[in-house]
Amino acid sequence: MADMISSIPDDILLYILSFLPTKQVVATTVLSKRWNLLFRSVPSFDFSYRMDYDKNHIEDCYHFFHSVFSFLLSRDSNRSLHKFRLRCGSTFLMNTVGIKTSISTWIEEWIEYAVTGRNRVQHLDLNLDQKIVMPSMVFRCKTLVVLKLGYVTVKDISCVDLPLLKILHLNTVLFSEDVGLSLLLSGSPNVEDLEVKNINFDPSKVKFNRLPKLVRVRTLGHLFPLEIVQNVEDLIIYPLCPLKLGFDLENLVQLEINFVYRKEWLEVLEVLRHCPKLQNLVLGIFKSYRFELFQKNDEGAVLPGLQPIPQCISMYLKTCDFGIYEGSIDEIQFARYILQNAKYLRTMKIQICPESNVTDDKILYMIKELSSCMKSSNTCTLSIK
Amino acid sequence: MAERGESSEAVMLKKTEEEKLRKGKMIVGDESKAGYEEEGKKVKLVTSDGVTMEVEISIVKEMEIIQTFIGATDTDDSFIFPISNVSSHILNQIIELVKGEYDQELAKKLSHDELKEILVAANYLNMKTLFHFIATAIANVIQNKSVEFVRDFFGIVNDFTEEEEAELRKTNAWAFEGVDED
Repeated sequence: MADMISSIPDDILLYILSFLPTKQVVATTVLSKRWNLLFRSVPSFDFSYRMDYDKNHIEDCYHFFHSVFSFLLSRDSNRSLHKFRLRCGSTFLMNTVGIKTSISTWIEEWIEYAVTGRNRVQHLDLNLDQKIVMPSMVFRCKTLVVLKLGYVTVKDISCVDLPLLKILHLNTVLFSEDVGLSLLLSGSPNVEDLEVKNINFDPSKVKFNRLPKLVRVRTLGHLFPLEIVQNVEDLIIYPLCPLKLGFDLENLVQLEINFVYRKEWLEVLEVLRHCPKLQNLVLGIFKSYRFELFQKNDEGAVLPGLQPIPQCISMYLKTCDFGIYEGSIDEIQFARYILQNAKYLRTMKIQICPESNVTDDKILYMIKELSSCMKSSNTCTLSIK
Repeated sequence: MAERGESSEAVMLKKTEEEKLRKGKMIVGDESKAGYEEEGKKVKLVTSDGVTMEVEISIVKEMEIIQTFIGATDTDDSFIFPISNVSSHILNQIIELVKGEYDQELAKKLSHDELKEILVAANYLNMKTLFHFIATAIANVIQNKSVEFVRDFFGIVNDFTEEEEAELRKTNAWAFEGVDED
């Protein structure tokens, strides 16, 4: 085996190293003489700052800066830097009054370094603090394929040119202008995978263009207009308010609905009516600090006779995952409705929600209820965990 | 493996898309008929240990090194392609991984030697998705592990003296803090 690894070319080792945190990459300098200088060519930067409560915060910050600079200054500057990932978390900028140089300026400089042309960065992943303002160069970095921004502020976004961008994830990004998100999207015409979480803007002041290339969308918050993503195949939503789709999602194959406040089965069916070709349905709960506010449905709630049956249930639905069973009657009713009407269903998975105190009796009752109910599909397997 | 430039995540995205398209076609169309003319067609490969194996064309198509030649010998099914750097054991593992749609759970069952051999084979056969899959699987195995573990994993012989190693550890002391010695 030792022979074999010595025959592995450096570029393969570099590729493996590019998936590791930079700290570990630098530690490979002591492996052997062959590995000693390899780290300088690794095309990735991946640092995470974790607060150490036992240490003096300012010293700890300096220590982190020292690590980052020591890596950046020893890199082979002729090598490109394909991936740049930096996580600092919200504690980072706290209690740093004693530091003379502005921390945010340093971080902004690192980001500018990452997006300078010669690095040809493709993957930029930042999870910082809203005090950090994105350098406007980021949005003109034409080599970007993946852009993930979390907890940052975007001020200057007048020019966006991201022709290669395929994956765009935005979580709690503060755009100083209402049109910020819209501008970013229109400058990224080839995005296929979009995540928009907690982005606020005044919808009356913004016009969005359709995004025909999108395949997968995950959206949390009620402001993002689903009309512009009508062609998606894979959609994950967290409905904060009643969902009213006035249009069909013609290409949708996979839908995940994460309930935020309560399980609204009638609403789910209403959404399904607008997904004529849906094959996979996943139902979950949005687990957040609001979880304790989640309302249990009434034990006695009864779903009325639901006609007509949505086309996707009777003609396309293959899998249905209940990630959230808590033991209420309406849940069994919905599961039974699917079993009775989905002719091509292959699997139905039901997971008992660990936070709910579902008794063994209830589980037994449900297994009995669901296994004895009439199924449209002969090949459907039912699993309850 | 010439073009490793494209972001790995985007490669995986493309892959699942193709997968979906393929499956989508099978579902919309008549399921009783095979969706592809080529379905069921096999290609003969002879491995380094002299075993001749018939491999489904859908899997061979991921091997770019062979893919180049399939067109030329399309009419001749009897041709046996020699893949002299890959053993029958490793080829079987590769087939399982491709059929299992690159499930990380399958990678967890592989030994360290198998992981490395599949990596070398994927590079040789120019299987881009497999290469990416196995490289990330290896990265997962060695992630946050000590220097000693990584040395052992790759079979690296330490050619530093104790003093040299201590000196290097001092130079980049920050990189060795808080790592579990295992």
